[in-house]
Amino acid sequence: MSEASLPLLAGGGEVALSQRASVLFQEHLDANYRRTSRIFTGLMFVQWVSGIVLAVVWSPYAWAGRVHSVHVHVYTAVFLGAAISSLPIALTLTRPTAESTRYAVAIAQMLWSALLIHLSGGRIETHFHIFASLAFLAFYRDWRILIPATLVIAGDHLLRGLWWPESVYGVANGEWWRFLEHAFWVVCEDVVLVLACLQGVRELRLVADRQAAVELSLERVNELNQELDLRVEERTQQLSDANGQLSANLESLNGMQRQLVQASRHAGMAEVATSVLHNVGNVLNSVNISSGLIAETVRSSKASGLLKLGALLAEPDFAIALAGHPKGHAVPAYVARLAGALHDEQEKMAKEAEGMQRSINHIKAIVGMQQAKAKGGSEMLELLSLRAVAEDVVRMAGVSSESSSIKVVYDFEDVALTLIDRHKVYQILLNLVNNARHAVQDGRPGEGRITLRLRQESGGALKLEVQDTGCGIRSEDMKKIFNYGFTTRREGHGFGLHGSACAALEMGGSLTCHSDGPGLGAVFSLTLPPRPHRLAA
Amino acid sequence: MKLAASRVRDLLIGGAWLVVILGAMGLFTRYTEKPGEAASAPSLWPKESSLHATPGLATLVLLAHPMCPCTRATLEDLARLLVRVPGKVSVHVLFIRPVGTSSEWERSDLWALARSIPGVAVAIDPAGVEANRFGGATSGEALLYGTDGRLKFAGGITASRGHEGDSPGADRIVSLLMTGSAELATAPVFGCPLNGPTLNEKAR
Repeated sequence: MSEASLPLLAGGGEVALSQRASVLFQEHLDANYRRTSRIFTGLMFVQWVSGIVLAVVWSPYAWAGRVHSVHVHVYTAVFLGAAISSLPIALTLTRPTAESTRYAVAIAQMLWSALLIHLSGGRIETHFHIFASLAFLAFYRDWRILIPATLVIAGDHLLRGLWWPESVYGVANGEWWRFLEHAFWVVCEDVVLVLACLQGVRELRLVADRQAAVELSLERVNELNQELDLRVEERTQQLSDANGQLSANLESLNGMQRQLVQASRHAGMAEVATSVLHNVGNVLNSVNISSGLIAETVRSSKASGLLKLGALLAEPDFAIALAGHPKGHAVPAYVARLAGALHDEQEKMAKEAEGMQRSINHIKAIVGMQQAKAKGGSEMLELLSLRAVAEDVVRMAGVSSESSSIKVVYDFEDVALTLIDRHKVYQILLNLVNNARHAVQDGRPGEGRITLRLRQESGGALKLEVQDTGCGIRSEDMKKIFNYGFTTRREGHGFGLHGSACAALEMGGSLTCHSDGPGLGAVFSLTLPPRPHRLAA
Repeated sequence: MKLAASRVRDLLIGGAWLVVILGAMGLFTRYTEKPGEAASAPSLWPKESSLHATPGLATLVLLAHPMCPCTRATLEDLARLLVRVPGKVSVHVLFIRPVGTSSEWERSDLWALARSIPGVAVAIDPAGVEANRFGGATSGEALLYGTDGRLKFAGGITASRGHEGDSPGADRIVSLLMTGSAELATAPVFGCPLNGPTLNEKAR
């Protein structure tokens, strides 16, 4: 038994091993018996044929003068040889593993030795057949059959030595005990063959033991394999179930994602709408102010004096009346003053109308920009003076009107015309100025000031700051000042700074904020790259 | 019970088989031990013989059938015998040529074997004339005449049919030649009849 198989044997394993080894040992023995019987089937036939051939070649005829007849040797080889070989051939074919077959084969083989010695005239060389036959019989690995074989050949030698010594010993005066000398050598070979048979049987048993151990080990391995297969199948089923569940979850998540995408789209649309409305609302403030100024100008227009003067001139004796009236000489001067007043009104309304027109164009641009963004369109770059843009924005925000108490300060370096997206800069600055205005209005009264500052930094970037002296920003609000929907004003929406920061990023720039705290004002800095973002890319 | 019955049956079959074989081998042994017809040789060298005895030497005449399988052993034993008695005997081997056979009929392998033995004179015996003069009837018959022309030995020099090796006849010839004993010795001869039935009948 191999030591490697020991751990696999448990409980009644050793009993099963022993039983299986016994069965295998018997199978090996039977297989060897069959194999050896097949050899002897052929050998018996070959010996028979060889005996006939020997007789036919050596002594075919017996002669008497010129007459001859078949020699007795030929008949002997044919019939006696057939008789000797018949039983072992029949037994090796029908009962190859039977014990009686082995004994019959052993006796027959020795009889063949005796017959061949006879047929060859007692030639001493033929005695080698005995030793060869014993060696062949040892193929059975059954030492017991060597006993009858030895007894047969010893008996043959004993009997013939007693009555016919020349035929077996080749000498006429052979002693009666001489068969013992021959038997001694046979026994010597028997001893060697018995040892070989015992060794052969031991080896068969060893092979059977090992095979049984291997079979049991394989059986155990197969059992473990089957258990493993079952486990794998079970785990596979579990994984399959989990996979199905995951698929269902994934499908559910996909549905949720679709819903979220839809909601996000709706939210995006709302954000866009909010941004547009917010920016448009900022501009509409300016439009409202301009339209109010125009309405006020129209209401307080000097045109009514002109109507009175017209009615006076329509009278038939206007010239007589004018000449005779004590203030008639003042009419021409009045007409001149009236004309000058009307001209001033016209100038003022024309200026406000232009401002309204720019505001309306900006509204149109805001809407167009959002439409272009929605369609994936690109920005429109123009060479502009940031100073002019800033002034226009201040006007739109209504900070520069005479009614405003806020002082606006421009602190601009001399910078060349800049290639910028007009409406994005408008949008950002308008939000910043509006916020500054609200901050100042919420701050200490009478001291409001908004400073617009432009600096060109060492790398060529432009930094446009909007600084106010308003209410300032708390430090905890600084981190979320640009968040969408975050506002510190009651009427605010939290859209303007978020949209402005996004617009600055779209231009490749940035928007930052700094405040020393509540009541200490705030500075918003718009940094634009030296080259527009689109061109730099 | 069934096992015992089958074992008895096996033993009976095996026993019967063994009895048949041993019986046949007994018959075969009996045949090989059965000697041929002994010679009725003249006690003195026949004067009518065409063979000539060598003066001062014993003469051995061996009668042989050229086709007899048993005579091969006789010739082999003759060769061994002559080695044992060098220069003591002159040897004549006569191969019979029966009536009605061709001129080369006797030139068998036995003829060649006999001629290969040193110091042996091989001759043909047409119609067995010389064999009749020496009274021989069986192939392998050896006749030893002494220097005085008297018959010293008549018989075979093999132990049985076709068996080589020591034999009583060969031992006696050696003994006679070496000791010069005057006593007539005989031994059974094993071989084929020299003459066919017709010739035998004629001889009788």
